[in-house]
Amino acid sequence: MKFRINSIAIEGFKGFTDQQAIQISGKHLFIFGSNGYGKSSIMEAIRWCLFGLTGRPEEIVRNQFYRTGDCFVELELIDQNGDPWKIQRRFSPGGARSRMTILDPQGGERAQSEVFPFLTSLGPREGTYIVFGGPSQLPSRSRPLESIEISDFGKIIYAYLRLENVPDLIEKLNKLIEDQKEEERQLAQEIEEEEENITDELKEVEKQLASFLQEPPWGDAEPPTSTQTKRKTKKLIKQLSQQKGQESPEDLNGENLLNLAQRWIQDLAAPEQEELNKKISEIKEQQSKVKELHRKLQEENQVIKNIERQNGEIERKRRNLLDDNDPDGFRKELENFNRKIEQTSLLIEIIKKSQLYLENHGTKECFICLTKIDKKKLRGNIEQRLKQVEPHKLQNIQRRDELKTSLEELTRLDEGLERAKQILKQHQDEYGEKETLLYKILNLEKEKPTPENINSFLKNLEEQVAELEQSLESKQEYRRNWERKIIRLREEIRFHRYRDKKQRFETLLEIGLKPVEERFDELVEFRESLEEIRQVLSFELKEKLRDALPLISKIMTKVYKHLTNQVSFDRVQIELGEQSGGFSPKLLVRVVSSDGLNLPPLDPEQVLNGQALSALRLVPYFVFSRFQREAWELDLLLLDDPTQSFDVQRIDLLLEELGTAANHAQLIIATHEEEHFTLSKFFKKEEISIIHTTGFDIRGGPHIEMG
Amino acid sequence: MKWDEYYNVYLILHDLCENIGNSDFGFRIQGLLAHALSRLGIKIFEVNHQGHPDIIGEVENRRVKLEVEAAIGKARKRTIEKEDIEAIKPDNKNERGYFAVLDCGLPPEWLLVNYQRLKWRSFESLSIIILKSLSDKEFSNKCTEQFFNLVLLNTKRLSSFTFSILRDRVLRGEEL
Repeated sequence: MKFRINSIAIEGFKGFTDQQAIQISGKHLFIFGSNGYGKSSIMEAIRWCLFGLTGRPEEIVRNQFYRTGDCFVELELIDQNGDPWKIQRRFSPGGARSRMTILDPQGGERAQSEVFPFLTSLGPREGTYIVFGGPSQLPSRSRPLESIEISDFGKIIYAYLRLENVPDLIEKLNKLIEDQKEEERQLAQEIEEEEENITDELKEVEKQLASFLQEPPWGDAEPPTSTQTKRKTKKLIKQLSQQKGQESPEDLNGENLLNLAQRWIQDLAAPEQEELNKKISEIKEQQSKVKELHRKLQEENQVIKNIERQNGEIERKRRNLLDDNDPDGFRKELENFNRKIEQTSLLIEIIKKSQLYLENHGTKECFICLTKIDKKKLRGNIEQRLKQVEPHKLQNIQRRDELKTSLEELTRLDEGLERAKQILKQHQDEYGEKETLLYKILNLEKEKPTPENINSFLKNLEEQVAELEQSLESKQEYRRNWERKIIRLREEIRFHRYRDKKQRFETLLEIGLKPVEERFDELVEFRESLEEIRQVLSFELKEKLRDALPLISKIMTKVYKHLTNQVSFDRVQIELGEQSGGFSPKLLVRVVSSDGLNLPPLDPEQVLNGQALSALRLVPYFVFSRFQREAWELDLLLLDDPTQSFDVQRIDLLLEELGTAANHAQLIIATHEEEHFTLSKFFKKEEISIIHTTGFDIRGGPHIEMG
Repeated sequence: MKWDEYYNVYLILHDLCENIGNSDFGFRIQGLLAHALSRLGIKIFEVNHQGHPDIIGEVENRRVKLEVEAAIGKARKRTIEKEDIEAIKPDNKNERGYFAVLDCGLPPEWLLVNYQRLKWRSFESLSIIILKSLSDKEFSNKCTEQFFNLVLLNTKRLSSFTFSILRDRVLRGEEL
């Protein structure tokens, strides 16, 4: 189904405020007006309605001063039957993105991909059948021609060759191959790690096995097989079960059977061993008890003897001290000496006072009997008397002190003797108790325990212990025999375990990883298939391009020459370059001179002037629209200021080309150079609609006048 | 081939590498591969110490070119250089080119990868697993079998086989 635009309604978009409608009636539209009056806004509104804005926030299209804040553009289209369709795009306040709605003639909503499938696949950045021209897209010194136009040229050429999907496909293949590579790498790493783990474990088992086999339990004989070990284990458990009086279990494996055997041996041997150990321990206890008692009796005996000896010594000292006297005589003599000392002391005092009286009072008579005395003689008598009495007193004191010391010593000896007798009594009692105990142990009724019968008794006990220990050893040997058998079987099982483990790891390395490796092979083959496909595609695409490029270059040259009338660099030449690792061809636009200067093809940016560059940039539009005239539902050619940088005399050439394009496409062209657009030479009056943007104000938007 | 033999060969190769160093080990492995190929009926014309390819032989009027490497130890990744691939690129339909890697893991094995499966992979870091997947399984297995026989038959003499001995004998058509 083919469509043409019938009318445009714009509200709140860029400079627009309240809704304004532009009636086109399916004709070509020429918008004339001075710069800044809204021509470009109309062009952009159409583009926005069709494609929205990708890669940029849509907020920038909204008129910030419009009161409702709504932003809305509607294109009314008429199909080939004359029925009206509508494409609406609305960007409501608060919304994140705009929404496009397509309404069929009955008002039903239709999916974009259903009505305009190519609009779906080709957005504004990729689209070439909806062609936008505009100052912002014109080449400039800061924005090289190639960076803008090469892709356009490329797309045009791919479209012409019906190969527009191939470069994308190659890119997709590139990505797919890279993804495959990554998947391959990851899986390879996983397999490698797994292999390394298994190898490490295998090496460890090999090491364990080698160490085990240095001294195998079976010596130089052949290693037992698993079956042999199992058979031996069963035999052992059967023998034990008979001794134990229990059924041998059927459901246990080797290791558990041996654990059970170990328990049974313990069960069988333990009670007897315990009994024997108990007896031995009792006898040994008795032995040590007798020895201890004997030792203590000897010690007590020694202590008693010592005490008795000490007591004898005290008695001797006492006797010496008393010297056939008795302690009461000692005491009477002491009292006697005390009296004598007192008497002597009183006498000395009287003599000394008499002497003092005599000296002080100079008496001539005795102061007691008043007898006349010779003072000198009396003094001599007193002194003589004093000399007699004083030594006597000293002798008495000395003797009294000696008596006192002896009496104290005697008291001490008596006390010591008393204490010693008490201690002796205690030891004698203890001796008696121990002796009684020993009687009982030795089972002696009346006989006194002697070292001989004690030793005889101990020897007897030792013989009993030796006998019991021998019996115990024999029981232990019996147990050890069984345990040796179990250990040997355990070693065999360990050997089988190592060997099984080794075999398991070997099998894992040999065939265990096979499924993953097969899956990996598939991945690798798939990637190789992709690479082959890419190679074939790339080769075919390049071949096709090599064949087609001369003709395309010729067609482009024709349009280019028509627009520019260039003398030098008058030919367009598209060359084949490489990108994406050499798989995707890159198309390079070059210009060539036919003037015989023999210059190589050159980058247009380097050699063309502004007008020629602008013209070259328009070439794909015209060429493309020729190629694709039947292909599109909506065949629009939108050009904003296409004659920028054009000489006035060349504008007619452009209009001539536009006239050719108008045979199939609906043109929408905006320009401020109305005076140079002699439309009547190239278009019939009934084929075109003309509007003028005559002014602009911030509240009302562009002033649009029809006709 | 039993696993004990695999393990033996693994130990022998690791011992040899440890004794003579990685570089010499690589050359000797190249010489041993030439002998293994010879045992498979390939007449060996060149075993190069320097330059490419490492081995050139012929069987049934078909020329075979090989680049040889040994992958030993933990670092078993290989980056295939462009010249390695160029060296084994067949010049005509009667030529075959192989990149041969001795994987010294467990079990050790030769991986012979045909040029056609490597041509897109220059500068790629290829793990042994990828090389294994790309390898010509039948040819690799045959080489591995012959190589094992050679190693096990000559275990005691292996360390005395220098590169030049191995090369000279195979070029004279003499067995080890």
